[in-house]
Amino acid sequence: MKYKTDYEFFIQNKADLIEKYFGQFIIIKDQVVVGAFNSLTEAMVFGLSNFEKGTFTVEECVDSSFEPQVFHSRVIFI
Amino acid sequence: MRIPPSGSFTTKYQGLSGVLLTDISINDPTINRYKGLAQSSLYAKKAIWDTGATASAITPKVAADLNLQAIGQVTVNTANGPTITNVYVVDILLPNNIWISDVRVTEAPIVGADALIGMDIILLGDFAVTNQNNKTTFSFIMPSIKEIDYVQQVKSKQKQPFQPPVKGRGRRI
Repeated sequence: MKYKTDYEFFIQNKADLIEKYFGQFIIIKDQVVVGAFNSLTEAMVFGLSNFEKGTFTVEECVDSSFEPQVFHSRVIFI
Repeated sequence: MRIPPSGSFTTKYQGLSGVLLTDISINDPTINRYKGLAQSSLYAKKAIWDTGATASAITPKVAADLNLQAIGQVTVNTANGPTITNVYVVDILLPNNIWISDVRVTEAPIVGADALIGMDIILLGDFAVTNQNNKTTFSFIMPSIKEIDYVQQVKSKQKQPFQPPVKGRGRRI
């Protein structure tokens, strides 16, 4: 399956990725997981050392209660 | 998110304040810090502390001014329904030099400020709002130091035994 974005790849495969990389930050580039790290800092250092800024996605593999994010009052998308 | 050892600040407003607005500074860690260099200049902005926001957020203008590059996307629910928006990583400097590194912030059109400090940061410490004498005082400390329970405080006061006035020096009734 071809995904439009790395985020779409993450959402569609979230359950499997969380099981495989639970608690870690993963870097996804072109719908491929290219690294898993224990902190966001480690992931960013690796990502910026190997890829151009803005061309990769970092996702945290946790079953977070903060996802999807909620903005009750101060955010208005038109 | 990396957490500093400790820090606190207090903001006192002139009267009752319906909005908890503070100064913050924002830094792009991808410019220098991840490369082991000194941090770049900070970008000062106004932020609203919002317990109705599960995450912290910045406006598209802040992202553009800092030339931030998204590190991903996230689904957000607002009054207008769900949507997908960009996520950035920034460092945030709160009042009184409380430095929080590697904060994932969501890009969102924010009403009345440049940034929202959401529950992701508020949960790092104790957050208190008091309104004595019709003046709002907002105080924050991290990490958490104590539990506040006003119901228990009232109960404790009620349980205190009656103290008779001290004889001799007190006023006679």
